[in-house]
Amino acid sequence: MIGLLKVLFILVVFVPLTLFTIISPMNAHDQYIFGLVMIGCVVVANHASKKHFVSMMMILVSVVMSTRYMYFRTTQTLEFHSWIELILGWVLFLAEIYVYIILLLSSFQMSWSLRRPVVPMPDDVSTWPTVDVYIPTYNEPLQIVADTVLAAQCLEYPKDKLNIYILDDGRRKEFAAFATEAGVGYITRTDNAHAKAGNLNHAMTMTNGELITVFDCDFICTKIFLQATVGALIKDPKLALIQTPHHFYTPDPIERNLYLGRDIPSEGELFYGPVQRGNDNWNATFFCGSCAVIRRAALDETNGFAVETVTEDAHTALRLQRKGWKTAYLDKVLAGGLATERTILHVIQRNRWARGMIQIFRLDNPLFGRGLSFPQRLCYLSAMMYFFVAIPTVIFMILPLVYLYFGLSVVHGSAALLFAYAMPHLFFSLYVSSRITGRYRYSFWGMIYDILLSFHLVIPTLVVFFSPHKGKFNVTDKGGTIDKAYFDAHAVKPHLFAAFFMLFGIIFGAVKYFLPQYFEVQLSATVLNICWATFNLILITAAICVARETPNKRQRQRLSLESPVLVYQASGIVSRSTLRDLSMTGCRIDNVINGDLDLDEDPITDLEITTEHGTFCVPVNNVGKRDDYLRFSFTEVSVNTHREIVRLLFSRADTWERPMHKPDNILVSFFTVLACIHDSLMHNRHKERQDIKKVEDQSLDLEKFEQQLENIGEDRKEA
Amino acid sequence: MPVISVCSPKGGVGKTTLTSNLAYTFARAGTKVITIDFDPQNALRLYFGIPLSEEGGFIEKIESNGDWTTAALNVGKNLYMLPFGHSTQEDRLKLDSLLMQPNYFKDYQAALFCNPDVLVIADFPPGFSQALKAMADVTDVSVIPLLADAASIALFSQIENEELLEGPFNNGSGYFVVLNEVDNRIKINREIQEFAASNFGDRLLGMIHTDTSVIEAAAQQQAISDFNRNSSAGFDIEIIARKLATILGFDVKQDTIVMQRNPNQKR
Repeated sequence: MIGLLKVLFILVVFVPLTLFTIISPMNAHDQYIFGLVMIGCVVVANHASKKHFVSMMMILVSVVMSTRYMYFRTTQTLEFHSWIELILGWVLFLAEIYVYIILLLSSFQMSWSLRRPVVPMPDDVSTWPTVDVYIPTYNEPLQIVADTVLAAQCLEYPKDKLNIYILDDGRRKEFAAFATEAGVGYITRTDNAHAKAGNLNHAMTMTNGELITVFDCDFICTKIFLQATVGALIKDPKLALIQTPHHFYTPDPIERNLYLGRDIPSEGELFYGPVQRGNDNWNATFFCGSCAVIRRAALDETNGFAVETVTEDAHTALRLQRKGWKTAYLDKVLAGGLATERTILHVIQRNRWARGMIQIFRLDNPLFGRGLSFPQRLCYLSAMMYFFVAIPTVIFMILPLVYLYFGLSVVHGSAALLFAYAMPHLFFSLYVSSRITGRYRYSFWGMIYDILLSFHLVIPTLVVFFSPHKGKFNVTDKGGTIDKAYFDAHAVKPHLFAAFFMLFGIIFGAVKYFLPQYFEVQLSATVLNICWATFNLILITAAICVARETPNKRQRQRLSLESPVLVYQASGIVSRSTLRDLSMTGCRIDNVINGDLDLDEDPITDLEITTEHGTFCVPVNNVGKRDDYLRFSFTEVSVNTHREIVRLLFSRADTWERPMHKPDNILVSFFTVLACIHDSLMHNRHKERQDIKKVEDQSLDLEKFEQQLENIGEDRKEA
Repeated sequence: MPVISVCSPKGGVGKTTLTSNLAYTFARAGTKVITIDFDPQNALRLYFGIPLSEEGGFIEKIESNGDWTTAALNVGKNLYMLPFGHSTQEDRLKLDSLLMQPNYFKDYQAALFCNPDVLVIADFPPGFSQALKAMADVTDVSVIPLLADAASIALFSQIENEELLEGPFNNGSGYFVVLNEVDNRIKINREIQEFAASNFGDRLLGMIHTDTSVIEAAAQQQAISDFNRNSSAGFDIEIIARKLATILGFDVKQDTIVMQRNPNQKR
């Protein structure tokens, strides 16, 4: 009965009302008032309640107002006076349609978020499935892969049910040796067909675990990874995949070069928060290539991992779902990896993602074909559509210049009317997403990310769109270091040109505005375009700042802890002390009070570190001495010691847990962007960081210490 | 009164060192302790600062079959020691024949063992001795130090089968093994530790790190902790002392180990 009433209400009241709202024509003044009233209502509602229902209503209003704008654009603004205006006008209009579709899709995708709890493992360990852990690698240094492998060995899972394999497409001797020493499997193949997907498929023929876990070779898991994920696969036999977030413990280029030290959500947090949780609600979580557990039986039905595209992960999930398998997303950070080190590498990586997703869009479009529910189709479509973003982004960047330079009007109608319609549309898309996803992405940052990539991706996007079989897999280089700050102009060359033209366009527009007697211009349209171009210029400047690579010595994960430690001196005297912090290459302990301790005559040669998992000894060099503490670098780290350090540093269940970000504030976020640009242009950040370092280690020559560690690392490599 | 016997089938495993440092630890924690040296080498006294020239001991009392306690020396706060004394072959044979009598300690040395407030820690010569056999009647816990070396592994089964006395070590809580001179830097040493741990289980009371502080302290006739208060061996021995105290039913607190008035529940 109530259901019937609801349907009646929707048909009789809601739909006509919405349609009426969308299509009623108004003059500029009325539309302006209408827009302001709606904005006022939504702002009040936003402050009054944080309930989901209110959010949904806000999304609804936002969609209606945007639809009204699009209706207005379609019916009233597409009249042009010349061919060139017609073409440019339609280009802009199509770009706006794209943004509108993305708005609709992502509104749908993020309206219902599923926060999946961890399914506990059954008490009877004998019922736990066997798990193969795959760590595919191609050209990454052993130093990085070793941590990942050793962390996987620290997984809390029955030893006889857990097998770890390095899948080395680089076929490197030192990897084979390391695998033997560490006690994990080592799998290679004769060719590198189909890159990562081929590598995984090949490994599947060599092992026989019921579940397959994939860790990209830089993803260090916590010990509870399997116990937190496998339960769901045991409970639901139709579940093929459980994905967990990709968390990066090094700053990505945007963070490092632009906003380091500020509390701003990193790029991935939006996707690995509201987006994947929203997908999960519709059983449309997709595989992200790493940090996921997949059922072998399901992969057998799809002939393994998909090899047709360069993003095998999303495509594999799509194919699994077409076969009726379910997928799940567990929003719990259980592994941490390395972000791309440099802007140009970031661009290259995203280039691959975009090409891959567009390939899937062309070759296996989620809208068509069998096996998917309608919401699943929309979620996948949303993900793939997003990767066309480069084209409309560039269009929006360039079009105001067309008016400023050439006086071409690409939108028909008065500026006042256009503004009255566009203002609520723009406001709501900003304001509502600030509420819905504000803790995961601050306002304007998404635009900066898109702008940074946009110019580079336009051509690859088009090429792949028209010939989807092109496209080679490329491996993202990680773990590199940057010693000196430099500006990578190559990475942002088109941006620099664009910024240059924008600046002159704005100046030119201003000249036109202030000297109307010499130019024939519409003043309000000029103002509108100057504002638009200025806004673009600010964002593109932020994107350009990202190419100013700041030095990035590899960040060392340093853990504060309190743990007993034994100090071995050359004379054989052994004393107890307390370990205070530990990193992969060294540690700090309390200075030992021992009557005869003289580090010059009787140096400390070894430390014995005891943890809840046992005891390990490591030879050390004393590299710093103060009244309160002693600092050491490890001179020789055996695989077993290395594993114990990994266990201590990374394996804890809460290793990667981070506090939530503060809610977004649009104005604050805008000024933060300005401040970041200011700091970057003034080279402030770098100086600040150096100052902090100096204060921290007054008596300890940190540079020298780091240098020593570096040398030791190199010595080890040579050995 | 509680009695700890420190014995081992093998020499040079640190019995005397362990005895003296256990005594120091207990005394410092507030328990009255008397150590008895049953080894004719008469070396235990040297750990307590008794000069070489002082050669008295209970061996002087056997002629008269007198009360040994009169030969005991006070060597520190809460700390007493009963040296073996300078002996001849004849003295030692006589001692053995005395000790052959059943219940010798209960019948003749009651004074030594009747004081419920004093912990007795007895040090023995390596291998079987008549003293060890005689003391078994009054011993609550036998502590067997072993070195963490390959040779010790051969002794594991001997100890488990209680072959040393061809019978139980005592009528109390039985025997406990202490692995001495462990060094985690050496692989074989670690493996022996693991083997000992799996072999003895709860009977493995603890491990003592190789630590030159022990030797230095002995040379200076000090407790280890007086030589190096962060000594790892010193710490290990303190842990062992606390475990022993728990086994004996003492009241173990943060800084103190106090004998409970009625420790008989463990008998």
